[in-house]
Amino acid sequence: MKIKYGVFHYFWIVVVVCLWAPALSFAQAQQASCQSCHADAAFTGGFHNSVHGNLSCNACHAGIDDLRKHSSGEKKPQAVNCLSCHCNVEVFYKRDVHALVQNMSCADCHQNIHTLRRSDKARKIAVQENCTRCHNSEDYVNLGHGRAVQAGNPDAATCTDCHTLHAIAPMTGASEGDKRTLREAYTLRCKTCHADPGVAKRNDLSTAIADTYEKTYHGKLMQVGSSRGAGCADCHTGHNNLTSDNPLSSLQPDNLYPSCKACHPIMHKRSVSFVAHPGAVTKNRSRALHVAEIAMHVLLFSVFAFFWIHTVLWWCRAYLNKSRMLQAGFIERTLPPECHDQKQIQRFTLVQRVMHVVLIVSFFTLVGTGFPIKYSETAWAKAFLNLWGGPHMAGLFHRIAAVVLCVLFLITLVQSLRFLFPKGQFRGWLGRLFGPDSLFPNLKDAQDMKGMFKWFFGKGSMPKLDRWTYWEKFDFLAVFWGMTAIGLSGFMLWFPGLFSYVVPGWAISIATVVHSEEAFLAAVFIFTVHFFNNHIVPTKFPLEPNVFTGRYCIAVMREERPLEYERLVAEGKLESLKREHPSLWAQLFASVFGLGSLVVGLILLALIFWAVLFY
Amino acid sequence: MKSQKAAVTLLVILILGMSGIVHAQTNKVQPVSAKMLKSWVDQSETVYLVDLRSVLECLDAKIPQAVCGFDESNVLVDAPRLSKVIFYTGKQPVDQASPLIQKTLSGGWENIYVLEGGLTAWRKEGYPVFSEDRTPRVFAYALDSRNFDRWQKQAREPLILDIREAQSFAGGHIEGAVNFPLSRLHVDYAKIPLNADLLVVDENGMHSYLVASFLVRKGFQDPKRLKGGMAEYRRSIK
Repeated sequence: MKIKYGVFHYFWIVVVVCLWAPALSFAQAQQASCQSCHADAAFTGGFHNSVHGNLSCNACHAGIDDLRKHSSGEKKPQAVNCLSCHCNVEVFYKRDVHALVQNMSCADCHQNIHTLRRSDKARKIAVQENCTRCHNSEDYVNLGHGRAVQAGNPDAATCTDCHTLHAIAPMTGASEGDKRTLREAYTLRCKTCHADPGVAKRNDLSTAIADTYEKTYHGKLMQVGSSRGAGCADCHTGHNNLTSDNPLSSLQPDNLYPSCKACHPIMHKRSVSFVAHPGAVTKNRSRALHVAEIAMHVLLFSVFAFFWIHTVLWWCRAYLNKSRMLQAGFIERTLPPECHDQKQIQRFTLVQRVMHVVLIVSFFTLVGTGFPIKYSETAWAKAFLNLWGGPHMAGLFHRIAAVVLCVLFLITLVQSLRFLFPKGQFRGWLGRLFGPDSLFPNLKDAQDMKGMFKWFFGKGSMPKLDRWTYWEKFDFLAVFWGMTAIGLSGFMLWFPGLFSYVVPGWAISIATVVHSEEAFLAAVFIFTVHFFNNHIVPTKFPLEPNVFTGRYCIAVMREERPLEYERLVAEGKLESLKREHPSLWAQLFASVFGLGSLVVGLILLALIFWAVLFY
Repeated sequence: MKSQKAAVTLLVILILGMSGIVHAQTNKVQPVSAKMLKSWVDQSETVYLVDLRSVLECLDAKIPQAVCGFDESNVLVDAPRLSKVIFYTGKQPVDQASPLIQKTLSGGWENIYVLEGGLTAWRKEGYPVFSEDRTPRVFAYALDSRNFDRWQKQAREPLILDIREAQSFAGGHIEGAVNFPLSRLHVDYAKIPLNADLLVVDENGMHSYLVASFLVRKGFQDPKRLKGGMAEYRRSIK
């Protein structure tokens, strides 16, 4: 397309030329005038060809309106204000350490301001050379990033890529809060390159190093905004960035140990075998950790596979039975009429009920404070932690709840031993261990399990159950098994320094995996299987309150646990277990606390599934 | 009954007295934020700003209305007793036990404040500073503590210039270092041999750059500074 220029266009060209040419010639004339006195090479030699060469002298050195007074020294120019033109720099530079703490002006770094040209060298090298004129950085210049910059690698980080150009926050003398913010900012800057697949591919690196950092406790803390965990530079140092096979590298055990000790003052040297970046590189680094991960996955899969199938089949059978009863004209099951009149039967003692309530509170606290760290990348993690008062306070609550749970565990252990060896009697302990009042599995449980599956598929009636069913025994023993695994690993993570004197560093990495996976198993099992078996199953929905009230109807006992009923009648013990109906307050507490716990548990379950499915 | 009444009365008097003392103590020196101080200045309230840093630092940059407090006598001689007196340093907290503050407290001034975050906080807010005699900065190389021995061997006439105050210097210093406290360096620099290879050492590396630049201005050649100061040095020799 041919553009036609009218007279109007030519008019404007003439106007611009008429105005601009005198301006240029004025600037040059004025430069010549200034340079007649200021004849140093810095002003005369290179200024005309410098990046500011098109400006007149008084564009920067304003305020000279009387040359005679200026020449005689009476009138000095105003202070140069570079930011009047470079106003975009002002926004950042007023918070820069050079301005804030060192009172440095532009010309202190840009000392060649009158001869400044666009660098012939690559920009990154020019930056490196200027900064290192003051800042000792032998590590940086001679190793890793710095050497790569000098070799002309455009991906390598020069000073300003990490520290920014004009917004370098003060580190020395910074408050703890500021240091944490800086640690987060620097870690993010590391990730901008090291998590970039393009950069990684061009430089034969792996983005897994950034991804796997986020899977560690250090990385997770950073993600939820705590910044108390180690950032990249805490282990890799700021400038000595070499691969671990280089003896000068900060990742060499001898060099890494001081870095660990900076945050963990009590720490044995063997702790450096801790796997700081588990995941993709795990297989090569620690076979034990890899085996632990596989073992935990097998455990999770087998437990959930069995109990979720068990739960689904139970629900289907219960639902089918209920539908058939309704179709046959039976009214929906409620408590038998005699339940309102007869006394109830004692199932749980007051101590057991209190322990269950404390267990619920401590367990929910552990899940509510631990899972936001486990799923730190989720949208809800940070908000959830803020409910506790932030990551630090959540950690405090987590540890308090853990101690409470440990106390419960020890009380239960003592109770179990007293059950097995009443008044120090050892005789008959095997009979008590496998007896009907024991929570230890026996042959009857295997028969009951087989009977239940037959019942699920309509091949038989529901087996006659005794005081403790096999799924209740699993719940109980799972706490013992879980407490050992999750408790021990939890203490290892709580006191890694102390444990490093007992176990190698990679064992602490295994503790991380065990604690995390076991917590998932415990939480999801309780919120699905335990909730269903005890509360959501159609015959008990919405709540089985006897774990809170301690007692339940004899007619219900006869139906649900006929063997126990028959045994108590035969032994003449039933009368001694009869109690009055629970008080109104006890019933109210059972309903409010029980249903509240159910709701809270289901909300936590939804958040966990959200994290698993969408992150 | 009388003794009970007397005991209760005594207790009330004691509690009131204690709260009065606490109130009086806490009211003596109060913190003030940079924003609040700026609003006082803008509203032309009678404020006397005292910069407690060294001469070099104060002349280099200070809050425009401030007087340099290095000369501890007479800086507040014209300040009315009811005026607000604000002390500040660079970034470190103001030492309330400093002689000038103690003198102000005992001198009858009642509205005594310290600027939270010091001059750094003031600058962070974007408020102006005034340079009475700014020291132009130079490229002064920061020597890493690890390379200290190498420097000492290579330098022709090494001189370690410890610019901390005498008390800190007495608490521990690098062997062979000489003490030229920053507070008097503007006068004492003349005693430093002009041809020495200087290494400026401070507590944490925050002041040595200004001093190195000042020394260049006074004709010394290429003074170096110890990166991170004594704090870093102590860590490196552990």
